[in-house]
Amino acid sequence: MTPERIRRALVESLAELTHHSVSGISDGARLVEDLGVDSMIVVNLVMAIEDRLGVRLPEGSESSLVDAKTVADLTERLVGVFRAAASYGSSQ
Amino acid sequence: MIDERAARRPILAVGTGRCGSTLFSAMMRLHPRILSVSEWFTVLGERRAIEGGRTTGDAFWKFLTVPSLDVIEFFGRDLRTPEVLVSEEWRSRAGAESIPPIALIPLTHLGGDVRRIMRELRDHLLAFEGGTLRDCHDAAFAFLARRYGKQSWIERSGGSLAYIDALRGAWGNARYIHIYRDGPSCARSMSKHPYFRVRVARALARTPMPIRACLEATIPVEQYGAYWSAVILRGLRALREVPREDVLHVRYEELVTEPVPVLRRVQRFLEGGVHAEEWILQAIECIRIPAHCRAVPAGETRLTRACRAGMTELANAEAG
Repeated sequence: MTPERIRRALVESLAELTHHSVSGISDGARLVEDLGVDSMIVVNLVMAIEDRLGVRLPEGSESSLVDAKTVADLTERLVGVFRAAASYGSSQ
Repeated sequence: MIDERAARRPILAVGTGRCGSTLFSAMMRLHPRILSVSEWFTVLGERRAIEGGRTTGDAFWKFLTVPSLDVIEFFGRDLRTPEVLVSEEWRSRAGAESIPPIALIPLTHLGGDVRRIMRELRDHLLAFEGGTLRDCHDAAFAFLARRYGKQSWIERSGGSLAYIDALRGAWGNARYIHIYRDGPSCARSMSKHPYFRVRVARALARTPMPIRACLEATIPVEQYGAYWSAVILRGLRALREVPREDVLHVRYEELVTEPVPVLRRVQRFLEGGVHAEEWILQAIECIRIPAHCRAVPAGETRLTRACRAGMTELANAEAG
């Protein structure tokens, strides 16, 4: 899973959940102040990304995402979650 | 010996709502030394009742007795919501706009002559010089505790984990009993309860939608799961900031199946080494498990996926 694909799924899901256009969601956008993201949206966001990408993220992913401040920060954390899951999967 | 230091500190019972905390309030009502205040913050507007500046005893009394528009609209639609305890006679004589919020549930829950207790509380608060909202609530709770012959109080409002940040802001020295229940069961129960239908509809709409519109909205059950998970995520994060010895987690399913050891644990938390076996024996008589509270069958659904975040957080909290 490339970081760009993860980012695209994230931005499309965010746009859908926050009623913003995809083009209106920049890396620098602040999640709470600019997009109105709250913890309920984060829970829905994880499900939406899983559906878009056809994967299941590890349990507890939401907890590591819920404090992200910006879209870039959220993307970085999400890519980290995928990497950790991939390295855990390959070590099994 | 009663642990005086612990007994004097405020104790707040918090939960997501539909988690068994009403049962817990009913059990606490039988406690010989602790006053069980139920739904006090709920009927007063939750955050609105906690966050705010200084006020006088007179203004606070009005706040306790004049219902908000939300309370009028919500209870005006159906005063038979199960949690509403005000007498049938009062219901039939008055509309929702003329029943004081604290009579709807909190004072009626305590029992006795509610009108007389209201008069006494009014006299007490009118003579109170005022202070922060916390000071005013404390003054009311302390008065009621004395009035009912109790030494301290515990407040429990359904769904208060959602605004635990406000509670912590006001009662920085509080101790917490966190009551929780299996996420999917809780979410299904929320989906059938008007209060949570309003909360979840507003959370999804992200606006203060009118209550009528909230109750008419069609909301998939997994959104109640997402709401539940979100409240658990935020709430447990806030509870992790509280010293570990000041938080007790109580699992509803254990409370109803193994009540004696759970209530002994609660009693140790409340009063240290003081035994209250008689209270425990009385309290377990409160247990009735309605059909809608039974566990939801396992198997992945959108609801269980939505609850996964909260269930993982709870498992981490249980593991310590």
